Amino acid sequence: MAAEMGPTRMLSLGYPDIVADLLAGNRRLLAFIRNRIRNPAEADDVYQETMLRMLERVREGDVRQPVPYALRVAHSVILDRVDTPVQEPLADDLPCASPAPDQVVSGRQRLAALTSALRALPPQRREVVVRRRLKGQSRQEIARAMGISEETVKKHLTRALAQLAAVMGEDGAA
Amino acid sequence: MTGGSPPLSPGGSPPSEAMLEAAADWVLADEPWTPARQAAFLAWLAADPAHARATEQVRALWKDPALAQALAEVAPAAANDDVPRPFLASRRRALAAGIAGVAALAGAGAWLRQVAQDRAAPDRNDEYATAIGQRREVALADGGALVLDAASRVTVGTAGRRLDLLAGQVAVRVAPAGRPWRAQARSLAVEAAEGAFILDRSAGQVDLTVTAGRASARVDDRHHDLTAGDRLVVAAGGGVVRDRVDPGDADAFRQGWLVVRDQRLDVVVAHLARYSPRSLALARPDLGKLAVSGRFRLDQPADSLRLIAGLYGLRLGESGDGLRLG
Repeated sequence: MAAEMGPTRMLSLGYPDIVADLLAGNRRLLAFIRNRIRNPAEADDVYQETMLRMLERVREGDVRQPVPYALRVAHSVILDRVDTPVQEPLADDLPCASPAPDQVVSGRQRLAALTSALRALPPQRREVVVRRRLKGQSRQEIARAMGISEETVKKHLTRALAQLAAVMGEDGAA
Repeated sequence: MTGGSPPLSPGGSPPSEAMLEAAADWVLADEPWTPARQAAFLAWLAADPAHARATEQVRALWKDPALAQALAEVAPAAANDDVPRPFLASRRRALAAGIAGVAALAGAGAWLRQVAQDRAAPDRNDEYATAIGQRREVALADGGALVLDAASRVTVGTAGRRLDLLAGQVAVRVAPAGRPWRAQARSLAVEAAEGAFILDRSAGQVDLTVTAGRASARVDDRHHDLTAGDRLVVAAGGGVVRDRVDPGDADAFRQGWLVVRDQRLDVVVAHLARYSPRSLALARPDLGKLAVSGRFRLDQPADSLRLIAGLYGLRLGESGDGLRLG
């Protein structure tokens, strides 16, 4: 009994859990493969082969859940490799630890860095980010309100996020 | 494909801006996450170990509350206006002013000015909707705000102060300004002059929780006066029940928590389903009335369901492409 659900119009305030699930799924897949194939080059081979097979099947419309499917494919790719030595898995196939944040930069410093990085953005780009992230407007709404194309809105958002992420560096993880 | 760091090994130089931009493209996706899109993303992650790092970096920044704070600082005036429709808005204002001007000359009272306002802003609605797993906050022209839960849909009167909840859950903060807010969800009508309330449609029932101030509700011809902490439930069968809850618990969905005390299991599952790409179902309908209490993470619907299964001695299994409880 699913909840009464509205249409799947994507008006994202930017909290894509599916990306988080897929990142975690990817780590599980890597752990699964590495646990069974010691040699890094062989393991990468299995990884790439798995992806290729999965993409083929997805195109045929056979796959609903890519992550569990990828795990099954990896398993069969490994079994198919007669010549590759396969280890018994060392431990439970726990996902690799997520990347640990580096030392915590003070909250105020981060806020200051973010504010100045935002002020350094071209005004139109900054306005697009404000509308999307602060006001929760969709690409279509932003495009209409600002008189620009949706493609331009998309470009502004991705460029802005990339620029800000580059400035904040890898210890910017929340 | 990278020629640098060896495959499947962590470390290496920080991702380039081009790579961060590609990651941002995935993170900000407006297109639905079909299996094909998910597979393509996984394949992109596989192509270079730096892709996953770039995605984590970009995603963390986008979710970071400090980003919203910084944005609010650089764009202070921007926080309160609704989506502007420049030409139509100014024409409407001119029409309203024109009619009001005539009304003033004619010495007519406030009611005619109201008519002028209604005429100038005819009964049009803006629709706001959210997808699975995504909440949305909307700042309103009158200074109030809406927070939509995931997988929810509301229509809001363009002239403001009116809302119809079509699906899901919405928290409304009412700014005191002129006419009271009127909200509707199926047979339940709410009126509030100020304060805040939450409307929810789950498992065939309608739930109204007043989280601040006062509101009055009408179901069929009965009126109920409610204050902060009051909850009114119109059950699927039509009966109306009144209850007391902690407003903080009701508001917790905004921080990603489902906090319930003796809530029906079918309602709990409905809330979790808004965050689950897989369908969630109960094995038997009569399980729906099982009373559940606890704090559950909305962004981990499967884990939360597992926890509930453990707490209440229910089985959790896969069924088709979804999960089934009981």
